[in-house]
Amino acid sequence: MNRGLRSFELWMLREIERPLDARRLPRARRARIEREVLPSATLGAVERLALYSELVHARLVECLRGDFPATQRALGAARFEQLASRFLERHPSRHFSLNQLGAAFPAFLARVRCRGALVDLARLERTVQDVFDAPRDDVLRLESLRAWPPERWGSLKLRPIRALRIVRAASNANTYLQAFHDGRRASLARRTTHTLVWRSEFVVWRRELSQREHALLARVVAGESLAACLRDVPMRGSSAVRAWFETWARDGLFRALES
Amino acid sequence: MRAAARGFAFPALGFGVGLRTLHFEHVLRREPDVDWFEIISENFMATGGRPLEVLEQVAQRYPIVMHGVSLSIGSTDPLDRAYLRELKALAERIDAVWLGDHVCWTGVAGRNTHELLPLVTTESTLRHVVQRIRVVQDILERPLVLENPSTYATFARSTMRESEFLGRMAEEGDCALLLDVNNVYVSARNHGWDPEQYLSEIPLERVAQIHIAGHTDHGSHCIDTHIGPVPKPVWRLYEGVIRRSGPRATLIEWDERIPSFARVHAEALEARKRTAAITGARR
Repeated sequence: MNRGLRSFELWMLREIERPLDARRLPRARRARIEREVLPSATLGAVERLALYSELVHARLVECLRGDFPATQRALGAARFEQLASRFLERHPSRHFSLNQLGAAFPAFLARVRCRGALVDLARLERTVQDVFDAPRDDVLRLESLRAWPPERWGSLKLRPIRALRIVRAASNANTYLQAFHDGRRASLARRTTHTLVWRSEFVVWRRELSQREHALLARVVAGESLAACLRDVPMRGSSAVRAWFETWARDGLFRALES
Repeated sequence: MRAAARGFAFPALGFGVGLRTLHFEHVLRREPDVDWFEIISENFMATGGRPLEVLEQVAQRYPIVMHGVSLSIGSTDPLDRAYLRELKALAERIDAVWLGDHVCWTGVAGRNTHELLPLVTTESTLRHVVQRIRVVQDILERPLVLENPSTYATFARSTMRESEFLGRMAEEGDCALLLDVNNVYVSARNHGWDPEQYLSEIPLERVAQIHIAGHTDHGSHCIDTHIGPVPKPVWRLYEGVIRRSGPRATLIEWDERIPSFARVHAEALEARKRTAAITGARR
């Protein structure tokens, strides 16, 4: 262990992870910075170190803006930046990829008591990213589903692709997100929704599920057999069930059949 | 003169362009006449989505060089073995020609600032970095190509010039160098160094690759933003290096307000033209 270098790195990290305002800097901090950092012909030691503080902050906030553009719109740019800064203080990046930076942002918004609909929206935006980055799977073809023997339908289980999530919200987060992407105005309102988010051909899709479709799909995705699903979610006729399964298979939601 | 490290002779790949999301469609559909592409390694790690699919397709047609930003070779944290495993897997998957990162640290105590932080250039740091380079090269089973970053601060406890540090690091660690000429210009402006002297102290036989790019000049300091075309002073420094080294794999970096692929590619073709004018080489 190179103790001198480690102590220097820990010191520098502490300094650049927080704002460095030369005018408000306590004397002891300023003195240490001036001992460690050489001034240039044009910038003092504090100003030079502050460049790193600004670059680190700007890059990370920009990354969160990119991951949560609709949440930023709903919160307003100034409030978003304030919350993003607080988030970064409590949740510094610990991963080699910036993809992971915002993973805890929705939960953070919930903890600081942001409006539930905003938390829903952030969670939905984060889910879109998770689905975008999820591992690839070979998708089950509709023909394979059709070829399943009718007498064994009751025992049928379908394994979902890994790029699939169902997001429950107490708001119209998906409607708001779609309006945001379409460049339309919308407002967040209270309403229980379930949004299916999945990836097909490298495009992430979102679709709001009806209560009944959600009830059935959630059980299928959880690995229950078709018989168990239908026992819990009674359907009016087998043709409706068949239509849903065919739609799901066409959308590429499953990767394997099991019994 | 070809660059070499760990017994590996680095090929003169020609003139490349950074593979960026904005240009995916263009590259896949038009298959432009580019010698090679460079990727930011981490953008294709921890993802199973479209970027990786595109990369695999591009790798079937073009040589790919991997350039990372999270190795943190100067950090006093333990090396991230999971990261290195994933890096190696990606290199094997796309048959990367070589892979590299920066002579910097990006964080400590498990934290990642995602910024290329400057090293204190001392004997002790040099020993630390060299030892880590050797370990990383053993894990990756290939030489590293490490880049001089742009820096905005220098430290009172540093005891050697950055150029000297890089040269010794490359020799003692038996790694290759990625000479970022724009970074030399930016750091020289920020610290009052003479960029020509800096470049004259770099062992060119260790330089496998060159980066050129634009930057933002704030008057009191310059920031390495990879914005705009390559400025004249950077072209002058580049030409000086080529005069001494001969052709080197050269890459254009353009990451802010990225224009059309054709515009970025035009900068690569300009580098080719200038190299040919100096060396008489066609490619």
